[in-house]
Amino acid sequence: MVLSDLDAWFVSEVLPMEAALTRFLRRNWRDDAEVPDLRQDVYVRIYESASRSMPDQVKPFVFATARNLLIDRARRAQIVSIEIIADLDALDFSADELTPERHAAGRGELRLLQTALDALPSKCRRVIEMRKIDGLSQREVATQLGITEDTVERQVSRGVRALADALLSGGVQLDTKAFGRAQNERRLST
Amino acid sequence: MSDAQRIESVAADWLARRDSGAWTDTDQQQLDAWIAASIAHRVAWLRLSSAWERGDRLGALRTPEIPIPAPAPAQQPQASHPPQRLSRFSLQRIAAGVLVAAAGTAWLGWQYTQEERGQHYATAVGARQSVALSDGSKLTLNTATQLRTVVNDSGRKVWLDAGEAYFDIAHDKSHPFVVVAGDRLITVLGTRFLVRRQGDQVNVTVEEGRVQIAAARPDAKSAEPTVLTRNQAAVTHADNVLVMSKAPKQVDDELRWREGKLVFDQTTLGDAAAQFNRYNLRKLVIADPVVAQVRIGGSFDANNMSGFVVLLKQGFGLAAHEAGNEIRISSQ
Repeated sequence: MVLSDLDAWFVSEVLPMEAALTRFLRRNWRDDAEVPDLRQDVYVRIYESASRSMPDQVKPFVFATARNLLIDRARRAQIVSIEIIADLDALDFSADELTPERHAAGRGELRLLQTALDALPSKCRRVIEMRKIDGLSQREVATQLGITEDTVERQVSRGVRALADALLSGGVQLDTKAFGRAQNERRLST
Repeated sequence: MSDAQRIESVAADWLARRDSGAWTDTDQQQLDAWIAASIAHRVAWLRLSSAWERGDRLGALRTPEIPIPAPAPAQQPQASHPPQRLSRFSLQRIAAGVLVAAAGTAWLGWQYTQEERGQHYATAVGARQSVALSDGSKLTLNTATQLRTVVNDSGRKVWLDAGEAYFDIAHDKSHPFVVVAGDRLITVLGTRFLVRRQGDQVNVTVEEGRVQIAAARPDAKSAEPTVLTRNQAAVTHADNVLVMSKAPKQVDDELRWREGKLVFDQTTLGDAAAQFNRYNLRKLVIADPVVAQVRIGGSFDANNMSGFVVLLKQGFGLAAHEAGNEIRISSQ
């Protein structure tokens, strides 16, 4: 797939906001388990809107989009929450915590990657290291480790997700315990 | 699994397949079709493929000119045979880990730092405090809480004299951890749970593991200790123990005070006000029983009582009259 200009803009301008965006969603939404879904919806809205017209300034645009999404969701679920009604109105887009993490260059980026690797389960880490550091193909990795190619492919699939979380949301841990929890619990209505 | 996670896992599978080398034009057309099917697919793909490409930078670790600072200086020259080798950094870490593990096994038995005289902790109304004990356990004190700890070689004991605390107890089979809350002894080996005192009543909620509740007085009538497991709660009063099960979500909501949040779910206004009053010097008073029965929901900042009052006025058409340290809520 060839990256369009819009795709390239999304990768270089919007994705670096992910850590700040995730923190923002966690702070203003009561259920951490819903944050991945909320974040996806924010990204979809941003992409759709930018395909019609490119925003002048990315940061305020990202957080205004997130805020509007939370308000829509809260209304739909008939939730009344102070943070959404009061705090979001007063949201200060210049606050430090909303600073996007710029891709660190050189060593900083390497350290970030190394930290991401270290966080992987050992089998998965070996596979990713051999693919990325030693430059082996998936087939060569399978031969070296004495496991099937399917297993290597599965570990790559796991590894890339963990890598993306570590690189993009670095330092923002989502509550993985919540994953798999009943998502259909009725939210309250007043 | 949530919608976003399902899409992400499909995108990750596509990426892993493309990376496998067995990739045909048909595969590429199918992937393009999947990406084009929805913007949610597209952003998930962009997110993962860009991270995967950034991972190529790891190749730089093969060139020894880029030193990566290691957490511990380990002078362990290792013969490495590419391509079967770990990065230098990983090797150093492993070497350091081996040293630590060796030191750990040579250390016979648990040695707690002496806390013979014990420590005393107290939080003000609306405050929270985290406490790390020498055995590796972590406590979080909620608003208006008083607590004493004694942790040493002979045992681990905490007295919850008032208020509420969350316990994340390090596992140690040979030293049970005991919480004394009024007339109850709560004993665990290693687990996460919550204890709250309200007058003579003691509430225990278990997030993880097993917790035993027994009477502190040996002559108490309630002879049998009660054992609670994950997502169970108990209310004890005098000689009675009432055990109930909770949904994981309820337990999570109940623990949100550790982030300064009060979470209500079909909570009566009377109960919500009582919650707010625990964290604030100003008190909400709801004299009208009909108003006290109004059900509300949402998550609120425990220290933002003013915001809550504004919401009651705007969202529920209630009236608020301030007098000294009291805010009286009534229907118009």
